[in-house]
Amino acid sequence: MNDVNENKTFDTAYNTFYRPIYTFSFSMLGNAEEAEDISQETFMKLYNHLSQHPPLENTKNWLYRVASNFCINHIRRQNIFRKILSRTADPENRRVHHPSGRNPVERDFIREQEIEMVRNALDKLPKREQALLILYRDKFSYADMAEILDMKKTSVGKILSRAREKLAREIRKGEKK
Amino acid sequence: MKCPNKITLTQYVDNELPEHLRNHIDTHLLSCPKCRELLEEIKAEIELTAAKLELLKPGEIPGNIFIPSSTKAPAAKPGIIPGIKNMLKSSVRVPVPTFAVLAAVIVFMAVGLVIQDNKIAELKSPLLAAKKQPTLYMVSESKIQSVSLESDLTGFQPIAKPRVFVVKENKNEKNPI
Repeated sequence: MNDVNENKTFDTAYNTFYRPIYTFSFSMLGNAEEAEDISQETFMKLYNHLSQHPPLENTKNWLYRVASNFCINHIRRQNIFRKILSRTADPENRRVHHPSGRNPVERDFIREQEIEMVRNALDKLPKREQALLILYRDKFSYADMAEILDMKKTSVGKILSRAREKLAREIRKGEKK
Repeated sequence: MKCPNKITLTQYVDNELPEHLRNHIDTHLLSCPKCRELLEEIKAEIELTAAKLELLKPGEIPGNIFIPSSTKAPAAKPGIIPGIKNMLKSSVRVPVPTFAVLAAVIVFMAVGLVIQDNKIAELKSPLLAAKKQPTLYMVSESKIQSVSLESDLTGFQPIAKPRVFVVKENKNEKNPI
């Protein structure tokens, strides 16, 4: 593919999917800076891919696949560091992962508390289940979710149903507190 | 028809079942209050998790960090993300006078080193020092006689008849070259 087509494909993909990919990464990580880094890395990978390989059949799924892998690896690395540093109980550290990226005092406190409760509930699920739930929220089909997360289509319904049940239970538990 | 399990009913709600299975479940639900109840539970679970996961979306999405290549005159080279150059340009700016001062210092030092090297070489090698003193002339046969006498005086005999001699410049004679 020549340079012009390559750039056109990249531009189209970037303009169409940057926001969804950022939203997905943000929902996975709960941190604006990290979500931005992951989104940039994802699009860098796309650019390099386009310059070396034939055009992608499904750019959207490809981008989500790369972004979800980046997010899952990032969370894994983060968890290892957290364990090493034993900082999980530090409230200052938790604030970094606040989904709004702002201090709770600045925004509606109750809403912020709710967001934090959902974040905590989601964090209790395995990373793949988290990704699956966020993809479901973003209106992906079972086939697309299977392609993105590299699993069988038949497993998607099973895992998704289980993940949703767990999340609902955790949310109800969090609401009672 | 046997009652469908929760996973199948979830797939039914998600519209991920083949047409014939959907029709079977439709028929079954009409006659099974237990399954209808389970279906309502699943729907409530889906609604709850979907609403809560919406909260994890970012409040604001950062603006474009990449400048689409189509807006630029030259096409980007492969391997370079469009906009990355601009990012670097805008973030890492070295003032022009710094370069000028650096270049001047480097040139000054280089010139100094060359001059110093020449002086050392002159001191080390008397031949090099003498090189500038005499002037080479092609001389006639009559001149050879007088020079050979000088050679006799120094105690050395010329091996072959020299054709080029180093002689002191005589202002009265014309330069034969």
